[in-house]
Amino acid sequence: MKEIKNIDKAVKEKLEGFSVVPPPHIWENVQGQLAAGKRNKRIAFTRWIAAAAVVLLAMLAGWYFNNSTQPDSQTTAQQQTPGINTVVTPKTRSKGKEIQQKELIGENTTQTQSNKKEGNSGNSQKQITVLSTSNTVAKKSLYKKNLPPVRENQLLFAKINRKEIRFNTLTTEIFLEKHATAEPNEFTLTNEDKMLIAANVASKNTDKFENRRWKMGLNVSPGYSSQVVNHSESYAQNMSYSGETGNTNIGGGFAVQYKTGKRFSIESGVYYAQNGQKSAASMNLFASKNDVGSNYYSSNESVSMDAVSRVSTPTFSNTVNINNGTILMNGNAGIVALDATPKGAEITTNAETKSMIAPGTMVAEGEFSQVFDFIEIPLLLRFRILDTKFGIELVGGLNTGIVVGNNAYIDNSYGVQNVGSTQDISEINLSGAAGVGMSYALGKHISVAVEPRLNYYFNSINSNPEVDFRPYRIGIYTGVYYAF
Amino acid sequence: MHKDLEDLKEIIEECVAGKAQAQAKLYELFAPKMFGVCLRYATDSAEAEDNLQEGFIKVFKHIDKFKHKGSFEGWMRRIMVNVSIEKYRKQHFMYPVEDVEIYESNVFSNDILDEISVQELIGLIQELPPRYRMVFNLFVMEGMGHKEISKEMNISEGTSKSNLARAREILQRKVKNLYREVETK
Repeated sequence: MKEIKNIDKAVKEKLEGFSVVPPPHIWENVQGQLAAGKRNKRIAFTRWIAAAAVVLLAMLAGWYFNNSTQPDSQTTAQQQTPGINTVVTPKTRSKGKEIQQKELIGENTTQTQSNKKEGNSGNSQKQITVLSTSNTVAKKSLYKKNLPPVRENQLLFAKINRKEIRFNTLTTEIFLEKHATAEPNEFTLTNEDKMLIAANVASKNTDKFENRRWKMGLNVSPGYSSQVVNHSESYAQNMSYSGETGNTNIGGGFAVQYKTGKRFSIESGVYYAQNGQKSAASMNLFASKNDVGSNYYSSNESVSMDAVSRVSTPTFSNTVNINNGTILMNGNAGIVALDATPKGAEITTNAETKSMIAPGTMVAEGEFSQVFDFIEIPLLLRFRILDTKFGIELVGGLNTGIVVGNNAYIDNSYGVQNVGSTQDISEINLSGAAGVGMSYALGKHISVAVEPRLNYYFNSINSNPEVDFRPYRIGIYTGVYYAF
Repeated sequence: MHKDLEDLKEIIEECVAGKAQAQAKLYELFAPKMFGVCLRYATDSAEAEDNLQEGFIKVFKHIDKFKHKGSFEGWMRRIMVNVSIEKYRKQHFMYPVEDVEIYESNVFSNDILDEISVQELIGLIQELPPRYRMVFNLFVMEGMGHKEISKEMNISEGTSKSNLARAREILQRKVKNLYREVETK
């Protein structure tokens, strides 16, 4: 028994620190396989982008046709259309370009390895291969920055080698000769060949990355839009209604996330969102056209009746300017250019005014709303607080909102009528976004997420200095994510 | 030493971020030792090279799972051992089970082992029948018990014990033969 223990111990002692520098082609193969793995992922990613872009375009097309066939009379304004395609496609294309460039850079970082011969310790057969650390040829500046740690490391490595040399001096050459016979074959292969071989091996060896860096998701976001709004005094004087409410709506889109570290990831994507406001049932004095009639032009017989009807039907009225056939009205979000008198609305002009500009009052039953459709491209930073099957993330960042739809509607007994659009709306606006995301992993790849998020426009989306209209939207972004 | 450890931590973190330079550093630092581990488990150096390559790819793919608890070298070594066991399973699952046959142990002194080189010893270990070699390595070098070995290798504990005994037996005999050769020269 004693002897048995002895051989175990003796072998262990003898072999514990045993180390041999492996032939250089192994590192090349390792790198080749790692690079090939990345490339495959990128190719898969570009496919996803393309697929997502198609889906998105289909969605947008559907949305557009749906919008243009709204039940409306001849007064329907259609002007939100051409923006969509031109806005969205360049974005996705440029993403594709970026990816290709990254790929190219990746290919440039082919590694060089140098073999240095070191005659040492009297053993002339000994060949110690030292791997060069300077393997990123592509970026000189990067290389320079990282130079000091590399040197340190080489020293460290040199130490290790020296140890090995000491350790191996007693050993016979049999083992090393084995290597020597194997190596010449390896060196007849060019670097490209090796890379190719490595890439081939890697493509066969499709081990999935446990560490999935990319995430893609489709979202719908039911939400509530409202606004912070201020008007100049002169503007407000011609705005006789005041009761504005928000607007519930559904947005959605697709998101791409990239994990930059253990807890941080960045997100971008393309979203569709709506912002708008409604004005209704606001006029206590001029609540209905009948009221106007009774108050201004005729006896007050109908007043009591109107008081009753006012409760049930929301009514809208406002001062308008009629100029060369265009009806302009100071709306909450800016001046609205009405294409024509909406159905079911009356415009009463002030007969006593003789000037060219004839101010009047538009009275209509129903609700008046100004609605803006946005295509939003977010750039968000996500921080993962809880990193388990159930995850919690903090989200914050910027959103570029491109106005693709700008419409004013009156909703009355004639249906929803598109009556015009708001003037002076900036096409591109910046908003801030913040939210808390909760996700649950259904499997290795698929997860579902719910994320309440607030989008708030920093600046007025209306360039008219008289109007400061900053919409915000609280959306519950609900979607499915695919990690790869 | 402390600084080296800090450096290592940094290198590992950069590897997690996928930086090629850090990967090269890590490889440089550990490849020789890990090659040594692989050589012990393999039949020849070609197989050891394959295992080393596969092992390192695994290391880089899963490096984010290293939690900086315990030694990194130990973690890496475990990966190399696992790759070696996997390779063994693929190649030798049909290897016949030999009966237990404990040889009487001859007197064996450490001195003999001192006389032969590390390379020779590795050569002798590589010459062992594959399963004996695996069991011997796991028991002696990784310090595993027979229960653990039986699980890893998918064999019974009895087989593990007998394999270990046989491995020792063969090694002793071979070491002695080699020693004699050295002496008679």
